[in-house]
Amino acid sequence: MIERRILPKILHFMFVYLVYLFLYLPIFVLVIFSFNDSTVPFVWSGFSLRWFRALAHSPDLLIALKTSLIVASVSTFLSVTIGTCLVVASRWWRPFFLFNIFHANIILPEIIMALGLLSMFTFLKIPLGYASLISGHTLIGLGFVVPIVRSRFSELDPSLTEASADLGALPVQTFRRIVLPLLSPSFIASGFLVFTLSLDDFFIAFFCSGEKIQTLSVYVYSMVRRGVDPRINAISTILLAVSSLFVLALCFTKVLDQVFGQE
Amino acid sequence: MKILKRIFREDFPYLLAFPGIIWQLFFLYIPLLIILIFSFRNYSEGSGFVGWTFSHYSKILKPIYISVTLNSFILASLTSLLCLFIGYPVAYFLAFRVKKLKMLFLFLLVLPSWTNIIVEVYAWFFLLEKRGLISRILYSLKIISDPIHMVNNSFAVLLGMVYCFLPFMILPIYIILDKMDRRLFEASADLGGSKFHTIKNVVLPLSYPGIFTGFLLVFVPSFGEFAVPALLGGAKKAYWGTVIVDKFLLLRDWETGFALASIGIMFLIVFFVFAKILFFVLRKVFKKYKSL
Amino acid sequence: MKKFNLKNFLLRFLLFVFVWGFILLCLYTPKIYNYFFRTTNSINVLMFTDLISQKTIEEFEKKTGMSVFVTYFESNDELLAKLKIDGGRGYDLLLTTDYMIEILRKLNLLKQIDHSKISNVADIDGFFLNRYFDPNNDYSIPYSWSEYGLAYSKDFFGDDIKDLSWSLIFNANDLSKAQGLKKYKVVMPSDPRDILHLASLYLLNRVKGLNDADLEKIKTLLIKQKRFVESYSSEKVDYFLYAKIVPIVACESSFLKKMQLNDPKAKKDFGFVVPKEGTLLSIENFAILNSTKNVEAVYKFIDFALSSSEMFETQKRYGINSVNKNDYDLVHQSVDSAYKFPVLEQKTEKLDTLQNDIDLEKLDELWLSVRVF
Repeated sequence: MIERRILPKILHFMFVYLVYLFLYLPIFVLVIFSFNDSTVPFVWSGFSLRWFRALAHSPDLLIALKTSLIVASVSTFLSVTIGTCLVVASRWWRPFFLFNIFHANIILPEIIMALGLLSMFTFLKIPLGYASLISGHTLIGLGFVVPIVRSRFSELDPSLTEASADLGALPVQTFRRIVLPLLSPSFIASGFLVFTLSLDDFFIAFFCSGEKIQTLSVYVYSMVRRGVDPRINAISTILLAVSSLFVLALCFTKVLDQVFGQE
Repeated sequence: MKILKRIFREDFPYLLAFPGIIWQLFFLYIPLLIILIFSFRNYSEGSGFVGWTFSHYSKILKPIYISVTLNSFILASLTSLLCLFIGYPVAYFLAFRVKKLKMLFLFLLVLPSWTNIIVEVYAWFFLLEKRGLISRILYSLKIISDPIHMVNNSFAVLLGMVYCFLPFMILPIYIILDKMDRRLFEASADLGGSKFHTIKNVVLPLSYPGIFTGFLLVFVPSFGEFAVPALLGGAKKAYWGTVIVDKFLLLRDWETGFALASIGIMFLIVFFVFAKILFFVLRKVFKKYKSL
Repeated sequence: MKKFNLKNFLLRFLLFVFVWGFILLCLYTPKIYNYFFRTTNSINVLMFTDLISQKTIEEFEKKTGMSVFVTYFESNDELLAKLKIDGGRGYDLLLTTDYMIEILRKLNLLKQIDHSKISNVADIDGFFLNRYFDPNNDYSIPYSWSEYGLAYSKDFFGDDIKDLSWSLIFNANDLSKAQGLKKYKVVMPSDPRDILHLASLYLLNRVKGLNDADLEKIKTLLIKQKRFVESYSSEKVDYFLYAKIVPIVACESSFLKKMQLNDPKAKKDFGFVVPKEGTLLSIENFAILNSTKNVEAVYKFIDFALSSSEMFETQKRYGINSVNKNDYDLVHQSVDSAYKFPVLEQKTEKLDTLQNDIDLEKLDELWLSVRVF
């Protein structure tokens, strides 16, 4: 009797355990072999940091890393700023389309967004480079910033802003002194999110960055196309470490359900 | 000067909102419009823009392009279904069976999806490769006679896709399940329903919004995916995404690419509407069944 | 409900336009910058990877004090798309494949070349000059060449293959049974144009004037072949061979030559042959864009890249072959005879470059049908 009731639970637990194993096996193998000493990729011959050192000596990779960081930082700043401004403005002006137009960012396949951007830039003869890439990443970022900040904003007590208006503050001052500080957790959360997304983005960078600049994802893509290379393991390990830190921070700010619950 | 002051006083909300609105319009909706409009453009090599035409669409509607779109549809459906069947039990487990370590499990679930898609693909390539871990284990266990190269085929592609999108299916379902009122289960048990009965008639129907969201978040990106088939599939099979990329970057046939993209978008919209109706109907049917 | 105030609406509309204009301005900044501030002491080069080394470029920069900015592209069509967008403005020099020169010439993007300004032109072997894509070489100067062939693992096929034919690639199934070899898979190049050329050499013994029936036959062959194609890839040749994933690859000579020049073990383990039906020749050419602002610097660069000292290093590093008569023996002594330049007196169809006579749409559909299932 007891066995009949426990068995499904055990099976259930094992199933979930296997799923997590499935999710982590490739990552583990990738990370472990990034510390492999041998030049032959799959044979373990000792612990070594040589591939990380090799990364430091590849100028192309360092340039790509610098590009990715710059693009991610600027995109994060822009999307958080623009998104927050928009959400705050909704307090006074809220047409029906204000928030609905941002749903499409998450629903459309990224390839369509990237191709659309490429076509438009080509048609308008806008040069492809930092500006085009940053615009694309900011666009994606907006799709996340607006829902996140909006849900936090809607939780704010409106009487605070009304009180400040009653006390004679102009909209500008209300914005600066009351609203902004209260919203700051959502800035930080969505900022982390957008930064990570921008670093990991491949589609937009592949199409819209032009030839003169190359982000990290595009660089890794061209390396992967050439076959197995332990340096890819090394850089993947670094990227994974950075992502984990961000995701850890995110989990503590509980924003995930705000993003996925908004559908 | 006076006008500037006035703008800051009264029109400030507009000033705040316009950049965001313009960004969306200019970088998302106008490009979509351009894709649609240009798919009708007749552009020839020597003379440039010549006129408007339906010829690209008649090219797209040939069986060969339909098969390509079908390939992507099948891949996206398989991916979504697999993610659903694997993901639902996991979401259920996270929502109902874990109390103390919930944060940890969630963190571990989300982490792989925030890695670079190229890194994820490469990780599987590394694992499935001829000299990789899985091949070695199978070889040493004498299950296979020679190390096998398990990439460059559809199996690897599907595996890669499920791997990339599984967390996106699990999370929405988990969120819905987590928010469910536990008293409903107690009520169902009180009314004499078994555990299985409760799951089928209470939990499952109530979680449809989560399933729907998860489906959307998995089906749409996997329909347009081109990096996974290209890297894990050896570029041997043509999918909607890969053909569009080829048209743009390899074969300089942008107009056909636009037409293909437009067809794909329209298909996705129709599918989205259809899925929403389907879920709506299913819910009604279940409600009716329950009340009997 | 507020009354609709026209003045307010117009003001806000202006604000809207103003913000939009500001964003546009930010987007166009690089263009404006380039237009006004482009330095004349630099040249912009567009080329494939693995043709001119970073070292050569740095040497040139040191010698002349000019800056060279290189932009790489992955495929010729990508190049064409980029050039068509802006008429080539922003670039001075191209290094691209033969058939592209004809296309670019017809689009009036290329500048006529004054051969007197390049000292190394006299040494270029006549085999590479005066071809269909540029009858008097008015617009292009050959730089390097390579040919397609079969790179194979001696481990699997033995030291010498008896019957040197493309059937090793196109008919692997039947062949392996007939010759008592294990079943094997192959790797094909990724560009459908190259595949079409090789397939028609094998199947029809000719490459010009392919009609619809010919294309159908080729399509059937390629679909049948697909079952034992591991991958369509032009970049991972050394990976596939070293990892023993496939024993034979259809690829350009430069890949294997690079492997063999830089790794003595590769000479023992792998070989390269040109099958009897003939093969595809590929010549990379310099071409100057009409929009260039710095012609003298470009001539200097071409001259420098073509000089013997640089070509020697380049050949060793990338495995490409020089078009310069004097460079042949320097490097070729140490490798297989397959790399010695072919019968150069006749320009036969057996060793010819890609022509531009295939209808792109038909090629497109052929390639798509091969990959649909």
